[in-house]
Amino acid sequence: MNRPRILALLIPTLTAVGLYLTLDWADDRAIATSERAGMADTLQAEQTLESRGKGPIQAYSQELQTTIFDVDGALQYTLRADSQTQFEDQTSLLTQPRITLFDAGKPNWNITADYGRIERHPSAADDPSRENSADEDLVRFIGNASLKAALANSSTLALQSSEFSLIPSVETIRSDKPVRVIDQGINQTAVGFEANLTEDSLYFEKEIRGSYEPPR
Amino acid sequence: MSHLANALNTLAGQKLHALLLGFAALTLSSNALSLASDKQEKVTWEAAGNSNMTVENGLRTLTLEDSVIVTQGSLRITGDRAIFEYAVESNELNRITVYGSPVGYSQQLSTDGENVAGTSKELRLYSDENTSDSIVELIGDAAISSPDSTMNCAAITYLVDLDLIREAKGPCNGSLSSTSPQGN
Repeated sequence: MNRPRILALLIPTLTAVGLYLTLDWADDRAIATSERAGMADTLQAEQTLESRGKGPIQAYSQELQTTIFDVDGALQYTLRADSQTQFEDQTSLLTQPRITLFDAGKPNWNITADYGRIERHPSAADDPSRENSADEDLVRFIGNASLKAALANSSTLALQSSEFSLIPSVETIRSDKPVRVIDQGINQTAVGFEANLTEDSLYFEKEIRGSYEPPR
Repeated sequence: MSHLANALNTLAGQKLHALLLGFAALTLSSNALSLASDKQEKVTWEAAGNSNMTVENGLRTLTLEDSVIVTQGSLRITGDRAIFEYAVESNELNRITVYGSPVGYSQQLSTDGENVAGTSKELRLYSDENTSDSIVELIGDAAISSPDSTMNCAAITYLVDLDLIREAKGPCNGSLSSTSPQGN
């Protein structure tokens, strides 16, 4: 075996090991962040495993910039990340993912985290008119996951969690983790949530604690 | 017979209503006002069940379910379900409505430790648009007890800042009594 071939095998292997160690560190950091926020959250070992890609690496890229359009050709969202590693099972791991969701061509919501994972899953839309339920992207944000209104959006809603998932096609984010939502003097924490960003509606599952500061 | 009985009941109810209003106006006590600092305090809440937050027609609605506790300073309200309504534009908390079996309400009236307490099936807490006075409406099997009085009615409207029962709707088949704050 000549040296270039060894190097060709060595580089992806080292990249995978590096990502493994990085995600371990990200999980530890997410736990520390949750504890600081007063949320009794712990990322379980199986979740740590879930957050990694499976199978050999297919591709690796840096300074990722992707623009996604919906079926009508309208700008749906942009995805930026410092790096992306794509695995054989079609999942991708991202470092410093930044997604901007658009509404009528204007940036509506910004979502960021330390790490992300793109995976395919069966469509959430239960549309009987569709003969074949196509898979759709689901983006998991891991570590300091944050949702904020973009500049063009008049909303002041901000949402923070150690981890949540985004289904871009229906602009829905959800998680079973502790979450904090801040909006116009309202500060509420809960465990488990689902937010429909197109309808401005939020559902919190349990352990609700909140406060409201009257305007001075 | 039933018509006559109803008429008598209505008449009795109206008289009692008038009596209650007259009595309520007298319950104003200069040294028994709610803690002025309560209104400046943070409103806090907790619930064991789920919660929904929606924005519609300029109104943000926050709903809490199951073992709800709402506090603001010395104010404490407990119930099964609470709805908070905020004006999105002004960021004002317009109204809190709590349902329960029953809803519990209590608040410290003064630094002397005098309290007002009440129960009902539904409670509405809001500020008067003109005077900014805090108003508590107890609706359905309403009962309220302050150092000066105890009332049981179908519905009671209580001015918190003034310790004044502004309106009491009959039938008021419970007791209407005046008790000494000292318990004598």
